[in-house]
Amino acid sequence: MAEIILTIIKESILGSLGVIKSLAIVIIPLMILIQIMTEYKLIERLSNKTKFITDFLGVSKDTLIPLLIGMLVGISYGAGAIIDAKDRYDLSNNDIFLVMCFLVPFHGIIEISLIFWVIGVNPVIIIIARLFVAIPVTLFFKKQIAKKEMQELKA
Amino acid sequence: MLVGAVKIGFKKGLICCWTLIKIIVPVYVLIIVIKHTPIMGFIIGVFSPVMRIFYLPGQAAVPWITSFFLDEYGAIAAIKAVGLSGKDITIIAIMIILAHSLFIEAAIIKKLGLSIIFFTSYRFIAAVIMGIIFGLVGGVV
Repeated sequence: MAEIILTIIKESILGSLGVIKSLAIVIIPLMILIQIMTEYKLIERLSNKTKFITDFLGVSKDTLIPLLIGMLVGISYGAGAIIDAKDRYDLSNNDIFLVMCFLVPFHGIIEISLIFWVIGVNPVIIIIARLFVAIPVTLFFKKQIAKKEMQELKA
Repeated sequence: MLVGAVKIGFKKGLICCWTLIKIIVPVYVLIIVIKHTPIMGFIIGVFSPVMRIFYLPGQAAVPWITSFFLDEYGAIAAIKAVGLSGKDITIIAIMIILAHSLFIEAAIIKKLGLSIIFFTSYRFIAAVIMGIIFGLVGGVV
């Protein structure tokens, strides 16, 4: 029993340090990059150009960075970027909801596709399967939200 | 301007890290405790017969349930440990990728002010439906 408790404590401390380290080495450089890109108005220009993508998903163009980070790097980092974007721009609850509808099945595609590729899973199949969930579900709720807003306007 | 941006970015990065650490670390510790109790083994036992609907052998429940608690790396270790074949690995990989780290990601969902029940069921249902579809395809091919 004492041995199990010791193992738990050891694993918790080592593992937590690992979590903290991996968060820090990704998030701090990302936030510096986002800050620089914001100050030089690069994000604004980029999100204007990619507006057709965010429009397609039914979210504000300011969700581009959380979407990109969540999609490419991972969902916790994407959530961090959402928390950050919430302070910078006026993201609505619907924006956050739809972004997460998309990111929950489709996040961290680089790392996850690679590690499963190593054990012999075709990354193309994985990506298609994930998009096959992410896009229809997001579009479904985009429509639902639009419907609800129409009804509220009428009422 | 650049130096200022780096300074502000660094500070925001630290704050953002701290926010995430506060959410993730407690859940992470809880998962390690669960890992050392019989809870996981019990759930695997319950799910083993269910794996048939995905055309998978019973032991495929081990990586799937492992991924609920741990992450994809834990699941991959479990896949190797139970020794699954090529087609089975693809099916279970898709299911794992759609529903993994349920507890840590639920904590993140809550922090964003969204419904844990909605998003966890979304992931679980998506994994089951895609598992059935790919199981059927794999079963025929």
